Amino acid sequence: MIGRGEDTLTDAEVVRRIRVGDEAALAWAYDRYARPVHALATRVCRDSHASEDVTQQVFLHLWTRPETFDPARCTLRGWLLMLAHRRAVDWIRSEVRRRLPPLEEPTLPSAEDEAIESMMVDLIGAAVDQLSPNHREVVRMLYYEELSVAEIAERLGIPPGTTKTRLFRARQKLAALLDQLGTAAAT
Amino acid sequence: MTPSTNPTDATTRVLEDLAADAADSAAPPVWLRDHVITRARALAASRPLPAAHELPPQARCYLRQVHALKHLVPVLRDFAPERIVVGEWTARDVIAHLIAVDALAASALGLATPAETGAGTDVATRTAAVQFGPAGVSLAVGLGIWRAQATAMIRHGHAIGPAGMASAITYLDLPMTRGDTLVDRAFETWIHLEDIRATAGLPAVPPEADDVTLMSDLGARMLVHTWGADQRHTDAGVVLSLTGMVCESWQVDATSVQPWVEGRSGRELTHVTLDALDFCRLAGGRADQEAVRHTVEGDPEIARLLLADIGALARL
Repeated sequence: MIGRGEDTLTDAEVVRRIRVGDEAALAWAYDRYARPVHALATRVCRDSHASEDVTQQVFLHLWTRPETFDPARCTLRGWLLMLAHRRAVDWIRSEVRRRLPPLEEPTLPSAEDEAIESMMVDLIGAAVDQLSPNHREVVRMLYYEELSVAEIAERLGIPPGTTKTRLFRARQKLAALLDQLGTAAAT
Repeated sequence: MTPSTNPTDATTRVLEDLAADAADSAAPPVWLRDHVITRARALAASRPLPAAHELPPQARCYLRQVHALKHLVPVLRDFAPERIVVGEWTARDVIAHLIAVDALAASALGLATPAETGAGTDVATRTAAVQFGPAGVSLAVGLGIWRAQATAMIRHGHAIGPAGMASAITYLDLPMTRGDTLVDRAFETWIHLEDIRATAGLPAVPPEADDVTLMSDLGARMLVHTWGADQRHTDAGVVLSLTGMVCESWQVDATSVQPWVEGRSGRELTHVTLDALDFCRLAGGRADQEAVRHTVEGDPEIARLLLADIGALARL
């Protein structure tokens, strides 16, 4: 229903429409990106109510502050995922605080929205640095150099099947490290 | 190792993979979508509407009627709750009906619809849902829902601009454009404004000439759905000429309605001429086909059928 006949809208056009208050554009974005946003929130929060709340916050942020998205820097989908990860980490922080005795000095409020991208880059960079050398190597080739499995296999001189296995394990480890680092950074 | 690409891109790709790993088991609940859009609508309520001159003509046409109804709110509030405005409807029922049909339009445009309007495409069912549903909206609540929904449609018109007005959608089970849909909402809002004004003893206020043109243009084009459906005149053609605020002529055939060009049809056609506002009132079910002033050149029976079909537009 939403976006009928408008499957080819660009990120910039969607955000332009949202800036002038077009609900249909928000719905268009929701229909395309709510699933990965909610999936990422679920992955981080491991709580259905929290992931629903994060998903809502992400799209209401898009609605109320669309000007903070810069299409020259990343895709709308990527930006929403960064927002989702940040909000999910914020939720974990609030949960940790709720369960701990109150601190004498209150923690500073969360970073401004404009710092989310920088924080995510640092967080993921730190997680990659903590991988074993073999895993770090394939992760960098995959995500930073955008090489295919075949290209990675060729460069490393190992069979593609071995490369796939190494990537699978590296991604598992990376996800676990992100969970740890995200939670630690938030507390 | 120095990354060869933008670290933001790499970050996005990592997050994409994390999301993909969880995607199969983590679809958001269906209700969350409407919840988000409804919250967004509430947050937008305090934003000013775009100025009329910034809007495409179809959205401007609707904006004028929305403003007109807003100005009549004090009149509505003065009505006794049981006072009939039209048919068996009170002011609250009229607003409930507008909310219900607006919801069909909003849905066709890709907007969220108020929970109070229920579901489906039947206008009567959805009107009843607003009137008698669990929420059973009051006049005051109904006006708030109506205003928010109407505003959302106007903002959508502003966002998509004149080019977007031409994009095709299905509304009331009929092939329409987004612009047609907004004109239809303007038209029905005006019809009910006339009901309210008449009930209050206020003079009728016709739409501006540009808006009458849009409304009568839409009504004329919709005649293909009634004229072509009636087997009594499948082979007959007729020319409908509108006068007064509009000066246009349409050739109505079983399969098309198009601007009339003298001599193009190559056959004798019956000509029916009437005032554009009378045409709109007849199409809105607010004029009697037997009483509406008109002139006929040609077959009076064909003219009578045409007037009946114009009246039938109100039931499409």
